[in-house]
Amino acid sequence: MSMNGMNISSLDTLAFILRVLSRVGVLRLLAVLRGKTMSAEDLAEEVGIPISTVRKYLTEMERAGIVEKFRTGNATLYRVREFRIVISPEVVGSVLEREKTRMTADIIKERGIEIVKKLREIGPLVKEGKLSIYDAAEMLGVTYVEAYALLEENGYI
Amino acid sequence: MPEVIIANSSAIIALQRRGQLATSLKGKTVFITRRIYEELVDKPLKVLSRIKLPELRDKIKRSVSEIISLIERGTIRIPEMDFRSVSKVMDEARLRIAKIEGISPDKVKADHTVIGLAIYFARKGHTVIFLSNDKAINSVVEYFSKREKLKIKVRTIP
Repeated sequence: MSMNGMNISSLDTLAFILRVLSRVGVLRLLAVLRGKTMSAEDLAEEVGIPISTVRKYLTEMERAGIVEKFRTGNATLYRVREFRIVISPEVVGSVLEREKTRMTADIIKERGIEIVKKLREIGPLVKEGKLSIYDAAEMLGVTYVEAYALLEENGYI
Repeated sequence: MPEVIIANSSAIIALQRRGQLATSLKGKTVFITRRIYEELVDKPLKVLSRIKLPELRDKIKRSVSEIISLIERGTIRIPEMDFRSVSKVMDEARLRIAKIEGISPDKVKADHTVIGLAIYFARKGHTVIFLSNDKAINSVVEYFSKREKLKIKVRTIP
């Protein structure tokens, strides 16, 4: 499975996205929201689902990376993120491979929790293109491979 | 002139972490620098014996082994080249990286030689595919490519 712009790094994440998308209500919201920006209230009215359920679905859809929330003035609006799902045994296998390569927990165990604090300072700079990964590795005091893993698994790459 | 693929450390690791390194490079030749080899092979091997956690040690070991194997097969190559023709560009690249990062040039650890490698091939008339997920490096490569009107296509691994 690949979803544009999404970093599916574990089978748990993959299962969560599929679970969210397995609800007919969620699919209805997606269909209505396609190409538009709407508030939860307007969506509830259009789809005919109680507002509390719509809010619950939108929260899950946002967590799954399917929709994004933004504010305009006092209004909170939602729009669909561009995505395309392709699922095949090979792609699921590659998610499993990626899961196997997860290193953050190992690195914290090995080097101590202090590295998380450093990562929070350094990560945004890498994300903005203000720091190279080589220099991030140097600052974190880890090898390049570990630095890349930390940055990627924590959403900075 | 044939296309030349150059990958920096970030692209190699990105593909590897997706389990796609060997398959993506199948039938291709990818050039890396000596610095990249040091970052991805030499340095991890040096620290390996000091890593206490077996899981972490195994992951790093697997990463190193795969890269060594691809080098042995000739898929990944480290060209023996004379960098003198691009030494000025590399110096400038280091200065640009230092400026981006707000540190002094002597503190820069980023691989400016991979930028030199890309410019070297591009100046010879090759179209260079520069694989990198490092935004700071990419911005410097794009700057030189534009300034010298070179055919360097920067590609990131999604």
